[in-house]
Amino acid sequence: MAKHQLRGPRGRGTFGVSDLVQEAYLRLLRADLADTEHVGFRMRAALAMRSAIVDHARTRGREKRNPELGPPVPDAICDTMLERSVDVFALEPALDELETMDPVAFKAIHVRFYTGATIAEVAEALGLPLRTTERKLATTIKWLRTKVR
Amino acid sequence: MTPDQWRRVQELLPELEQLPESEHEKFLERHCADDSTLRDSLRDMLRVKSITRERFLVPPTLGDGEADEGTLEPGTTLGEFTILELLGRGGMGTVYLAHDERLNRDVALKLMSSVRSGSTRNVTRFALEAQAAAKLRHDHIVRVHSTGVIGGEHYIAMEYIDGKTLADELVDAENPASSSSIRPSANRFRLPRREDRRFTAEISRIVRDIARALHHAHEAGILHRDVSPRNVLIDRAGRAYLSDFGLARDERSEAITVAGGFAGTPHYMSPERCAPHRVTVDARTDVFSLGVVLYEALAGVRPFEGQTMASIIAAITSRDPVAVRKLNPRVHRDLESICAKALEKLPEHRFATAAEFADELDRFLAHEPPRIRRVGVISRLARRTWNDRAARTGLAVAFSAALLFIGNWHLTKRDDRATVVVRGPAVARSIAVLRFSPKTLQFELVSRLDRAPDSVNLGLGQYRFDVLSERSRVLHFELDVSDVDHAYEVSFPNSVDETRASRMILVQGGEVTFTTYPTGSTARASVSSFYLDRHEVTIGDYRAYLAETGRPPPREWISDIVRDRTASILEGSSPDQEHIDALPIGGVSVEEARQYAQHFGLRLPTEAEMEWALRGPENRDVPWSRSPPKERTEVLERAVLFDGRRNDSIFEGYLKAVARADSWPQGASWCGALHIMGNVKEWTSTHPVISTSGPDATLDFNRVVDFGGAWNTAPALEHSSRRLPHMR
Repeated sequence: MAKHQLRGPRGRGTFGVSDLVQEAYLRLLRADLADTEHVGFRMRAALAMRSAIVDHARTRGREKRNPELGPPVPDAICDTMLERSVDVFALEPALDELETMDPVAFKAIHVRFYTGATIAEVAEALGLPLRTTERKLATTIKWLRTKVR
Repeated sequence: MTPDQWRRVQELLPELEQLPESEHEKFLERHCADDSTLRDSLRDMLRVKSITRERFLVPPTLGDGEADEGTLEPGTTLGEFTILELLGRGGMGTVYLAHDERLNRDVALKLMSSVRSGSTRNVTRFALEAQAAAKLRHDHIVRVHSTGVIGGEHYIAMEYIDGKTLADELVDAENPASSSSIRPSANRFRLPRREDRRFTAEISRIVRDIARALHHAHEAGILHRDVSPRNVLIDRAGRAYLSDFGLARDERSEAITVAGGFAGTPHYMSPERCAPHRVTVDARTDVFSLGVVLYEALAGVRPFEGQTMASIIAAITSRDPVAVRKLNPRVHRDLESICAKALEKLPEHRFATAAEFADELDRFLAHEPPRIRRVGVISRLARRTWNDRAARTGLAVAFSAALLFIGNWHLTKRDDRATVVVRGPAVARSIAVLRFSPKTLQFELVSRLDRAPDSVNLGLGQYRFDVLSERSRVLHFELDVSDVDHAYEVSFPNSVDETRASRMILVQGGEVTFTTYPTGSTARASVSSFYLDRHEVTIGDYRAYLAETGRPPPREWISDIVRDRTASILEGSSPDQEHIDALPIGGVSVEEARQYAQHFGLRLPTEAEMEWALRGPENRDVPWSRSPPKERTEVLERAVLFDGRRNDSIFEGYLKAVARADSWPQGASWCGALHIMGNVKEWTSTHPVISTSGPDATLDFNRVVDFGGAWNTAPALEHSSRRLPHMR
């Protein structure tokens, strides 16, 4: 549900994606912020970040959305994450497929990549042992990589 | 793939990876002969090799941009170039020493990283570097000879500088034994050791030359944006060159929206480039980075350090570096000042141009007195308002009606003056006395005290005393002189509590427009940058403060109705203590809030500062949108949760209705402040103006503007401009 809402058009009276993305970005940079949020918040932030990256890919090269406002996240971050998504438009359906086949892996990859958590933090957020998380992430990333050729 | 197949994949893949390649097919045959989806997936996954190299789905972190790549062997030919040796790797590519066979000269050949060349944008960026740098002709800028594509590889051929980077020179200067063994050469320039008298002069010269080079680029409309010791080359004669315009941006070319260098080290990034919201950067961003280079060279350590990207960025945006002379007493005071000026957090406080930076270094090298002020205390105070700190103290205005009482009115304006005794902190330094001007809505410098203790006679008004603490943070003491027959005393804590300070966020200053109380007129104020608590002061914070100071609990907390409950909370023995400690402290009078702030050398924010922290450059009316909310948003719903459920005592209702101080990041304002509206109201330090007749406006010292609405105010009131000043 969150995802649906997040992907909707901006500014429908609720807070925009940008606030969440902003938070995700801050989280990414300021690991020292008190991390009291549960996985639910992290996921919302991650999904917001993900949609921001897709947005970024779409608008890239074209006129920026609103030069006065600027993006909620510096271009450099979006660029780096975009680069590391390899092919963001192929990655998107793969992530959707992942959600149906393994919701835990889906969450793990989001918390890890889109909110910049360490593997230990991912393990903690999901309540999994470290080793299991490590293995799950590694396998998931490999599988996703086969999907973005 | 079905969940079951996926489960099998996760089981089989690790086993499969243990086996030698020759046995893979046998294994697949045995375990998934009847499932082609599973088999194909596993096969595909086995073939995935490039994850590490391209950093697929690796979150950006520290140490990025140093991707390990294949190296071209010496002797390889690429078009007219013959590769001679690897020189180094940069953010965008690998640099080789190569021989240009056609023109018979050595060049530095930069090849775009094959990993990165996948994206057209990167190719564009690479080409832009070449274009940007090729335009520049300067004695201290590495010259670009040619650019192009050979065999699918994008390249830039540059002037070859036979020498080392400043980064390497600095390492050698620390540790001369390691360098002499490599290339002992009598003619070759070597940076003197840091202890050597000539060291600071050499560094000043190098930095000056680079500053001149930067200025040349700036005048051509190009920002370098990645100035670091690795991008400064020193040739065998000791001449310095600026290289690597990899992140350079041509201000004149519309098409270029090349992003800043996130990959790589953030140590040299300016505070404005660290801002999460977009800030226009200009030449002064390069001035800052060069300042970091100067500091690092002189002090031997970087001014802003940390284990993680996060902590480095936090240091850049909010911490003052240790004074250079503390780390290297041989550095002249003037040079220290020049360095400090380049490292000012706010661009407007730095050298306006790289040329000014160079000029100061010239004067220093010529033993002339500097044009800039030395790092004296008062000049810093007057100038460095960025370091102002505002404490934010939560306040639930209405958990008891008893809070509103009528104060004494003694506001006949008199010419007499009150005596204020000022006691300094342990580190005695001069103290700035500032007075609030209702006209500009800012505190303005009225006097300076050179030593403490000292006394000063002040007329009626709202004052602030600022002093620079040992670690270069500004300590505040706020004082209302509302009665000239009263004797006042000002004292400071000895230092800033660094743990407390780390919870604050930097709010970059700007112009704010809002509606003032009670006239309803529009006010404009120019707000300097300041630090603000990220969230309200919590009950836990306040408990710790009471335990430390032995002060009595807030008056509201010891009223008859709630005494038993609050006593257990203040003791820390409430069953839900952990939750309660995270809630904002309510029921604090403005006097109590001010005392709390004074204890830490902090102050309450002004009305204008709170407005700015909420409105920001977009002039929002509420943190999460540009216009007043038409519907109730989640945050506001939270704020009115308590309405209509008045079965509990008001205090219990408060505990149930307010949210944890550090929660609701969705509702954060542009600068990252949480609950700036809703949850609990917060005190400001601003008194309403009761009369504007005469030369001075008269302030109503009995009342203080509160801010932001609370859990029990109606959403219709949730507009930043609507608030009620409360009796103190």
